[in-house]
Amino acid sequence: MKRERRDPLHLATDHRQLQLKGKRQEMFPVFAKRQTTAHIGVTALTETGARYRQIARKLGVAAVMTLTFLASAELTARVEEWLLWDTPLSATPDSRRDLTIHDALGIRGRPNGQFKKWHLNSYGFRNGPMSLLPKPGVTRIMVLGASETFGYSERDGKEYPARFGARLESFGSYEVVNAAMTGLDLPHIRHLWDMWGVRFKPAIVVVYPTPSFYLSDRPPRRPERRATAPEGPAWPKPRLLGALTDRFDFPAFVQRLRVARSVAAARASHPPDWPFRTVPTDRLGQFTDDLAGLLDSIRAAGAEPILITHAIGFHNPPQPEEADKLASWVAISPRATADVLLQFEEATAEASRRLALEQGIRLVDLADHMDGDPRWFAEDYDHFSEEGADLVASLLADAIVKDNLAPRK
Amino acid sequence: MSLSQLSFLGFLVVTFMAWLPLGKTGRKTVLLVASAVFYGAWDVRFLAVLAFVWTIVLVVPQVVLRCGEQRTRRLLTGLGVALLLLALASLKYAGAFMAASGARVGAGVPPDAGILSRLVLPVGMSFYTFQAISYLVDTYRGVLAPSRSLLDTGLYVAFFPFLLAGPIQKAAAWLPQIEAFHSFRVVNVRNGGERMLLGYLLKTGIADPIAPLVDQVFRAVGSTGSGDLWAGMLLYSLQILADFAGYSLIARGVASCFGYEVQPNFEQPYFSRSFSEFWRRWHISLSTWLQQYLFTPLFKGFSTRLGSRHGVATDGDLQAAYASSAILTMLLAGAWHGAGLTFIAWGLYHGLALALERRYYGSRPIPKRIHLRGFAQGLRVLAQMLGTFLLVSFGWVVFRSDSLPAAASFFSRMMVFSNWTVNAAAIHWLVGGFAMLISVDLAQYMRRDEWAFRSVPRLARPVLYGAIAVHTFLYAGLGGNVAFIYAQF
Repeated sequence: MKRERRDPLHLATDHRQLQLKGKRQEMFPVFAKRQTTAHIGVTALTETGARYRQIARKLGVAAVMTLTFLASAELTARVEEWLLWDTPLSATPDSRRDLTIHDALGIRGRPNGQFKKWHLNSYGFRNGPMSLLPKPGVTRIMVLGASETFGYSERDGKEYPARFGARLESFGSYEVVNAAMTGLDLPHIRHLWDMWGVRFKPAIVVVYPTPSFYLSDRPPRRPERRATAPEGPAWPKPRLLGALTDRFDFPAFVQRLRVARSVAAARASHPPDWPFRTVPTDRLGQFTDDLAGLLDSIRAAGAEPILITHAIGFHNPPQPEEADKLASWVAISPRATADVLLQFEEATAEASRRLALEQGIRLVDLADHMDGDPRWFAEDYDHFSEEGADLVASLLADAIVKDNLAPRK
Repeated sequence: MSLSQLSFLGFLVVTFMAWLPLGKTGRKTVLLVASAVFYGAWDVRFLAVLAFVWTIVLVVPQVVLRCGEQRTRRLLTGLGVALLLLALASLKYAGAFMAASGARVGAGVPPDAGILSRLVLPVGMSFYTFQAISYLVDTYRGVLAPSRSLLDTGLYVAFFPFLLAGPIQKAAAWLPQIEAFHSFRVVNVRNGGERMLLGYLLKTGIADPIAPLVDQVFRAVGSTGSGDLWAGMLLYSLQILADFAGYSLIARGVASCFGYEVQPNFEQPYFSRSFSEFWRRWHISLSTWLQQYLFTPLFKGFSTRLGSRHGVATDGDLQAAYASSAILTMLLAGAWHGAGLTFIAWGLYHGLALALERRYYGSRPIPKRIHLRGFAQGLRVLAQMLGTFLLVSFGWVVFRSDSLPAAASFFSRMMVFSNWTVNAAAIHWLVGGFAMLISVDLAQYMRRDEWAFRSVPRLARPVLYGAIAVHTFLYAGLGGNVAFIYAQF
């Protein structure tokens, strides 16, 4: 009983061990007491150690299982992308690197480039196989523009140039070449046309310019003609992160906060008069001049231009339910306020109409047909939905076929 | 809000956090409020219908309990059941009635539909109405005592995981669970999570990506080749099972997290070797409900009536009684799905199949467990399974078609045997989808339980979970939100 009182944790269960040491304890009681205490201490330490080892083992198992889960998830993501888009398992996809090259000819599509659902042909255009020169009897139509024309939201074959080509099939021998690339402003489009597009001898060139590039911090400028050093290999990146960001959006209230902080941060790093509070006439003038220059260059190459006015899904003035989307647009062009963005769209559409009238250029007034109708647009009210792409294709086909647009000799 | 949406998972987490720290009454209140929010998110008017069903469930058994006379008790219970069926029928079949009355009035003369035109069938009403009927009948029969608790009866009718598409719970099994207190247990959450993951795999990982392919085939039957039509039929068979079984698993998984356990709703139905076995494996909650509350009383009534001619029912009388009961039950099962003739025809098809099976193969039910004795028997079993699957799939074509002529056109073009090319995406999903489904079903069949993932060693399970989570939540759902098929019934 006494032993149990000294031993509340019943650590001294190794009674036999104590008995074996009994003689020594009898001879040296102090030593015995110290031995028992030491034994209890060692056993306590052993018990605690066992507990810690157990916890460490559980943590280790949990860590191994988590790593295994993540490794399996990463491998599955790679296999899924291989099945969906033919992306090689070991590749490190990057939209800029995989879809564009930047060389002496400017920024253009990478020959045989591929990124997720976007596939480019051997000339870096987003359409089927083609030859350098159009086949005899075939009218080649080249479409120039930025991501709206490239087909950022649409699957292969569903972007408006492809639909346009499909509609023309029943009216004769036409071939539509989608020479657009994401992020191209008018000076870059002009450079692409002069250095690259003109080689393909299109009879008709459709131009869909994006005005909002002219509201960025610096105005668009023609790229310098220089060769760039080839890029080194891409660092491996987990595909899982990309898939997560593609699939999930922030909740609306979080996105609002992010957008507001982004705009505030951009404006805070510039003087107070930096944001455009009215339509910048110099930028508008530059847009018009750049557009006129491009159209002149197209005509000089012997092609017939068709100009499309840029369309957006927003109303002017905007409706309350459009506030979040408009704020996201401002975050991309923080130098302009929401009102200036909308007014600039209207101003550039008007400038395009005037230019087309003055120069006798065929105009497809998309802004008039589509502005303010969300049906035609993807979530961002800038890129087209599949219905919108269909409508654009239909309007373009009408312009070609009904107006009997013949190529200039 | 649907169980397959991300917002539902957020809703579930918030509900669980609110439920966790409370006692018995508090927990039930949280679940009831959550159910009201969940259902009201679809349409706040639906809550009125739910309240009506709840009132019937609360009041009628109490009134019946206080009646001494058996005849009055039967009358009152019948009245309660009739009110529920009337509400269901009027909301479910109002559209069909309008269309029919319009045809009688004549072209160009629209009927004055008035209030009928404003009626909308509340989502899931077919399910919780049947659940309420089960309660009324079981309390009348004395199988269980009626509850006087607002919370218990409310939760019995409106437990949110089961609101949209069941499983339909039997009162005798479900009410005691509602009345009991359920403590938080990690094992419940783990089991629930596993069910939900498997459910999402079936629904989002298999059924949703298949849906556009199936829609494409059924929308353009006239211009689709035989190969694509056969593929479309098989894909729909896969889609409807994966969709509904997936939903049931998600619903059961959510219920498990709160400590409620209900029986499986599907048990490898495409492993069936006959129609009668199919109905013991498919939508088990509905088939057992139909058997208990419709088929058995009908069979007893018919066999008694027929037998009274000879004094005792002969084999012929029993077969006739069985056939009549089966056909009538399956006709009503078809009508339960909707007012369209296609559903009625589908029900009739299954009813006739059951009657013919009984006539030619006798009354001994085929056991669910297969004991193979040799290769020849294995081949025979496989042939039976494939044959039953094919016949059931033919029925799905009728079920899915917009009209009987459309179904007839589908079958006639299938049998033309020309243009056997099949869409590459359809082949991909036929092979991959059936491979996934058969793997899950085989694992469950071999284990004799529903824990398919536990066939994999514990340390290797993270590999499986990682693959399923990525496929289901990141890639397979790229087509967008697809509604649950059975939520429309």
